[in-house]
Amino acid sequence: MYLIRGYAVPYEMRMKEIKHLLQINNLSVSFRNDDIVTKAVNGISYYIDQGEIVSVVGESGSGKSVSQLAVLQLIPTPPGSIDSGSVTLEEEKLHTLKPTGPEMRKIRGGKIGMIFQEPMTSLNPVKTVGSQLLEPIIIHTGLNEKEAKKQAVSLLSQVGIPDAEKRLGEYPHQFSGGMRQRIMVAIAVAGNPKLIIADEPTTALDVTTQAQILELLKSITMRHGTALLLVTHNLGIVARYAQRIYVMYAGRIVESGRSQDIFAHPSHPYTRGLLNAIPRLDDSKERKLQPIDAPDKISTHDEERCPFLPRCKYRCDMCSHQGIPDLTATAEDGHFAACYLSREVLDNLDKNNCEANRIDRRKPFTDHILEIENLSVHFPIKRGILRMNAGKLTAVDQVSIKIKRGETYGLVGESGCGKTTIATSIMRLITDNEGEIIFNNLHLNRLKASELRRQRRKIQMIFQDPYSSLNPRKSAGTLVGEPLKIHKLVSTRTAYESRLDELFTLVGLSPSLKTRVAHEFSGGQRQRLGIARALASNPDLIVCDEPISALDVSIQAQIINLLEDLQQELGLTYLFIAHDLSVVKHISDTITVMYLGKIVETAPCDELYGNPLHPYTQALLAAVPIPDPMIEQTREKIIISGEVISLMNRPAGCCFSDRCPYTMDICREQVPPGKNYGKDHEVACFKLSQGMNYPQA
Amino acid sequence: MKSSGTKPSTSKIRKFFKRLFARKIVIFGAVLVVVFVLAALLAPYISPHDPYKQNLKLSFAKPSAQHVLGNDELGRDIFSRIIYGARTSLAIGFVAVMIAAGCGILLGLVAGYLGGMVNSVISRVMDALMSIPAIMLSLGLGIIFGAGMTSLMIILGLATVPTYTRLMSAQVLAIRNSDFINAERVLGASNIRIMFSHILPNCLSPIIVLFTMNIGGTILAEASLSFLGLGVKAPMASWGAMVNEGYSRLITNPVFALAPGICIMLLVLGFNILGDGLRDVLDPRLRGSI
Amino acid sequence: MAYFIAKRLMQSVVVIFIVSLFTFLLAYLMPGDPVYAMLGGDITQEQYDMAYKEMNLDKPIYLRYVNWCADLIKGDFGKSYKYRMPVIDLIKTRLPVTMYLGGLSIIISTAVGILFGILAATKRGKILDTVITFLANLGAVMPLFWLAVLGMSLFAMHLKWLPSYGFTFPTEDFVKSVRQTILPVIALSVGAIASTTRQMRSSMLEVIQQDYIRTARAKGLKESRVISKHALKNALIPIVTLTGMSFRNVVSGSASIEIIFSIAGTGQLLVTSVLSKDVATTQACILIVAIVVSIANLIVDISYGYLDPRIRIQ
Repeated sequence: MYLIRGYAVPYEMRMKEIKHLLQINNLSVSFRNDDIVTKAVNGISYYIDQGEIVSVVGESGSGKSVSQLAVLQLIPTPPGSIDSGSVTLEEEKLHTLKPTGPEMRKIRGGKIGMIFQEPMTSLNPVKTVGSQLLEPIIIHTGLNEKEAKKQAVSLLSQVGIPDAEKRLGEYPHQFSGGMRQRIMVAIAVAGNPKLIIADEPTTALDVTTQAQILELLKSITMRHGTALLLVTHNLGIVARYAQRIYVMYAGRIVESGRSQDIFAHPSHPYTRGLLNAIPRLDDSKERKLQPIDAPDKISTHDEERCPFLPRCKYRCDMCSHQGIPDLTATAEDGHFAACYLSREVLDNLDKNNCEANRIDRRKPFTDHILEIENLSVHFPIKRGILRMNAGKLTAVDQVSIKIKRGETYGLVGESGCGKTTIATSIMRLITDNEGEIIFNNLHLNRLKASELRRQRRKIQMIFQDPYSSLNPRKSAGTLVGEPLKIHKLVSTRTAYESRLDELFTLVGLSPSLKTRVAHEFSGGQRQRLGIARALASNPDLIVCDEPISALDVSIQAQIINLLEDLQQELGLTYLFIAHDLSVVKHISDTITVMYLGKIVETAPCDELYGNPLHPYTQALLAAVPIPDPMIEQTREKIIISGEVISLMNRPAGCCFSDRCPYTMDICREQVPPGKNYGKDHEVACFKLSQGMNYPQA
Repeated sequence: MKSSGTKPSTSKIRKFFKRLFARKIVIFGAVLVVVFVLAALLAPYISPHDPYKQNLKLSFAKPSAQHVLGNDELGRDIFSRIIYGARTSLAIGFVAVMIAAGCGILLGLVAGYLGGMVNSVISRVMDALMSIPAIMLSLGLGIIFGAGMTSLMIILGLATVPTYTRLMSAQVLAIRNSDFINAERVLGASNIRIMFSHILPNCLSPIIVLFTMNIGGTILAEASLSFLGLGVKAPMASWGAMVNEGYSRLITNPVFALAPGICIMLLVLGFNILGDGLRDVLDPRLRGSI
Repeated sequence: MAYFIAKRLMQSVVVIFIVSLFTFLLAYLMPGDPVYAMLGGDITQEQYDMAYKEMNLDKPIYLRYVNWCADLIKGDFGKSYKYRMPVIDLIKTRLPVTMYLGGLSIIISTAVGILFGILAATKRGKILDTVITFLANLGAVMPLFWLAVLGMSLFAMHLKWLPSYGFTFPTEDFVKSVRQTILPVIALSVGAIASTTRQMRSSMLEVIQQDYIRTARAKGLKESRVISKHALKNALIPIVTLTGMSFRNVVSGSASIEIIFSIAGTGQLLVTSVLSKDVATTQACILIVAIVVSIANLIVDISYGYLDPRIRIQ
C-alpha cells in the first residue's frame, strides 16, 4: 500500500472505504534517449469512480498523456519504461499483466476504451472504417460477424454518422477530421467499456466541432454509465465537463479536487497562475493578463525541490530547502494541493503585490492604414490528364476590410474560412487575386517586384509556428538582423550590433543570446525572436497569423502582453488572425468574423461580444467554454449541427445556410449583402435584415 | 540555460562524433574507410613492389615471403596492385560522386524551387535516365566519352545525377513553402538569396548521407565495368579487372580472385556503415528512404 | 484511379520519348563519323555514300530523328554490322532470356526480402534480427560478378554439381533449365534481397510507431493480428517503389551474369556490341530495355494504387 507522506492515515482510510473503478498508485514512467533518462511521470496517484467525468489538466510535457498510456501499457518500450506503480481496475491488478498477454488485451478496448488526439493519424489509412470498427466488437462482445456488423451500423449512427451502412465500406481519408473522431468514439465504446480515456480528443478540431464531439462523449458516457477520463490542456473544457480535476505539472500532480473548488479556490501557484494567464470570453478588456514566468527550459531532473519552483512567483526560503512538497488537504473536502504555502498565504501575497494589471488602450487614429477592397482569391482546381483548369476554388470571396492606424484588427474564423489566405495576400505571398489591397495609399497589388520588395519593410508578419518559421541553421542574431541587411538599414557593423541589442531588449530577450542557434530556444523565446525580426525594419503594420496558438497556455499570456506593450510603445497596427475567440476579444479593437471565405459579421470588439447578431457568431461564441464551472452550469449551449464543409461544396446562397438553424428559402438562393446595424456593426444575414428576431445566446 | 561559452563549434563537433561513434559498428566502418584511404594516399610508399613491373618468370606464382599474395599472369605483385587498386577505386568513386552531387544539387534546387514547367522537364529527364539500367547508361555514355579513368569518372557521375536531383528537389519542395522561407520573402529577400542562403544549407544533411553511401555504390559500379573490360585501361590496377584476370584460376590459386573481391566488399561495407551512422545522427527520418 | 493510371501512362510516354532522343543522339555524339559508327570501319566509298544517303545525313537532324522513329515503329532497328543481321532479330531471341532471368530474380528477391524484413523488424534487437541485418549488409556490398564467379568456380568447376554455362527455357527441358538457372538467378537476387530486406525492416519499424498501430493495440488486438492486418499493408507501400527500382538493377546485373555464364541475353549482347562499337545494336538494346523497365515500373505503380486507397479513391 502506498502512503503519501504526512497524509498517511486519512488517505488509507479513504482507500478502504471506497472501491474506485480505477485506482493508480505511485506511477512513475521514464524515457531513455541517448543515455539521458527523462522522468515523464513521477510517482502520481489518482482514481476515477464509476460514471464519473474526471479531467487531467496540464501543458505539454506534464506527463498527462503518458500516464494514461501507461495504464494500458501502451508505452513503447524501449525507450519508455514503467518504473513503479500499481494500476487497479475493479480488483484486477493491471500492472502485473503482460503488455501483450490475453488478460491485458481484454482490458484494452474491452474494459477501457481509448480516444487519441490526432484523428487524422489514429485510423489505419489502408483499411475500411467498417473493418476497424468490427474488430473491437468481435473481440470484446463475442458477437458473430453478422450481428457485429449490425452493431457497427448502430454504433456509427449513435455517434452521429449518417448513412452508416454505406459508409462502413469507406476509408478514413474519405471522412473529415470531426467525423474521424466520431469513428474513434465509436471504436472506443464498441467493447462496452467501464471507462473511456480521451487524450486531448478535440485539440485538433475546430471550435464548433469540438463542442459537438465533447457533447457526444458526455451523452454516450452518461447513457451507458461509463466513466470518462478527459485529458486536456484547455481549462474551459475542464470547467464545462469535469466533476473532478487533477492538475499536473512536470510529471507530478500538483493540485486535485472537485472542479468547482479548484476554479473557485485554486490553491497551487501553478493553477492560480494558469487561471490568471488565460484570457476569458467573459473578461473585461482592461484586465491585463498575468503570465507565469518561464524558465528557459523546464527541468524535471531536480528531484530535490518543488518542480514549479523556478517559475513560482510566491517562492520563499522554505521551498528551496524542504524538498518536494506533498499533496496536502485544503479547506474543502477532497481538495489537495502540493505547496508549502496555504491558500490564505498565497491570497495575502497577491493582495500586497497588486501590480498595474489594467491596460490603458490608446485610441487608434481615424485614417486607414490598410484597405482591402473586394478581395477574392481563387485557387485553380486541376483535373484530367493534361492538368486542365477544371474550375476554381474560391478561398476568399469579395472581402472588404478597413484597418485604422494604431488599432488591433481581429480576424476570426474556423479552418477554411480564408483568414490565412487574406494574410498571405496582403503579404503578397499569393499574388494571384482580384480586388485592391491599399497600404499607406499604395496599391500593393499593382507594385512592381522591386518596388514591392522595398515596401515590404513597412509591413511585416509574425507566424504561427515558432519552430518552422525560424531557419534552424542560423543564429538568433543573424535571423533578427536579416531585414537590416536586406534593406540596408544600417551602415556600420557597430550600428548593426547596437540595433540588434536594442531589438533583443525590446522583445525581452538578453542580447547575449545573439549567438545561439534557433533550436536552443524554447517556444516562447522563439516567438519573441520572430517578433524581433518583424520589428527590425520599423514596420507600420504587423500581420500576426495565429501568433500564439502553437504555444503552451502559460506562455501565451507573455506573448499577448508583449504584443500589447509593443503597440503602446511603437504605435503599431496589428492585423491579428486567430481561431481562439477569447484571445481575439482580449487583444482586438475591431473584429471580423469569417466563414467559408466570406465576412459574416464585423463590429467593434465590445459590440460584437455584447451583441452578436449573426447566427454563426452566436454559435461560435457559445461553443467556447469559459474556465469557470459556475458560469458553465448556467450557460445555454447552442450546438450547431454539421461541420465546416469543404470549400468545394460551398452552398449557393448564404455560406452558412446549410448549418444555420434559421435558414429560409432566400438564404439558399441568394448571397446576403452586408448591412450596417449602427455602432459600426455590419452583418450579412437575411433573417436579420428582414427584421425578424431570433433567440440570442 | 547554461551558457555554452565562446567555443560552441568545437564542442558541437565533439558531440557530433560522440553520437556518430556511439554505435561500435560505425567505428568499424570508419576504420575500414580510413585504412583504405591511407593505403591509397600512401600507395607509392607502402607497396612493396612496382605494381606495373612485369616478371613473366613469376607468372601465377603462389604467395611467397617476397610476394605475400603471389603474382598475376604477367608476374606483377598482386599485393602492390591491390594497394594501387584502392587508389583507382577511391579516386573514381569520390570524383564521380562529386560530379553527381554537384550537378544533382543544382538541378534539384532549381527544379524544386521554381517548380512548374522547369520542374516537369527536369523530372522527366531524370526519370528517363533512371529508367535506363545503370550499367547500360554507363555503357551508352562510354561510347560517347571513350575509355579511361577521366571518362569513367564522368560516366559514373552522370549516371548518378538523377538520385541527387530527386532527393534535392523533394527536399526543396518540402521546405520551400515552409514558414521560415515565407518569412524571408516577407522580409524582401531575393530568390537567389533564399535559394542559396536559406534553402540549400537546410537540405545538406541527407545529401551528405547519400554522398557517403554513393561512394560505395560507385566503387561497385566501377568494379563491374572493369570486370567486363569496359573500365580503366589495361596496365592500370583495378580490383574489378583483377577479379576478371584471376577467376579462371580460382581453384588452383584462389587468392588471385578472392583478394580484390574481398577488398571491394570491405571498402563498400565501410562506406555503407559510415553512411548508416551519419544518417542516424544527421537525419534519422531518412531511415529506410536512403 | 483512372486519372492516376492515365497520368502515369503519360509520364511513361514522355520518359520513353526522352530515352529515344538520347539513344538516337548516341550515334552522333560519339567521336568519329556516324556512318563508320553504324557500319564499322572497313567499307568502300560506294557503301559509304549509299549509307550516307540512307541515314539521311544530308537532311536536318530532326527529320532524321522522325525517320528513325518511324523505322523503329515499323520494327526496323537497323542492321548489326557485327552479327550481320537485322537488330530486331537479335533482340527477339535475346530479350526473353533476360526477361525470364530478371523476372525470376525479382519474384524471389521480393518475396524473400519481405519475409526477412518482417522477421527482423518483429524480432528487433533479438539474435535473429542481428543475423538478418548482418547478412543483408553483407549482401548489399557483395559485388555481383564476384559472387557469380565464386559460385561458378565452386559449384560448377570444382564440385561439378551444376553446369557452368548456357541457358535453356523450362518449356524445352525443365530439369536442364533449372540446373542452368540456379546459379545465375541466385547471383542476380542476392543484392536485391539485401536491399528489400533492409527497406522492409525499416519500413516495418516505422509503421509500428504510427498512431493507428497504437489504436489497434488499444482495441485489444493480438500482436500477431496488429502486425498482419494493420502494419503489413502499410509497410509494403514503400517496398513497391523499391521493386520498381529493382528492375533496372537486375537488368544492370544481368550484363555481368550473362557474360560469366555465357548466356545469350540482352546484357551480353549490349556488352559485346559496345566493345565492338556496334552502334545500331547498342541503341536498340538501351531503348528496348528502357521501354521494358518503364512498363514494369508502370505496372508496379499501378499496383501501388491498389495497395493505397488514398490513391485509388480520390
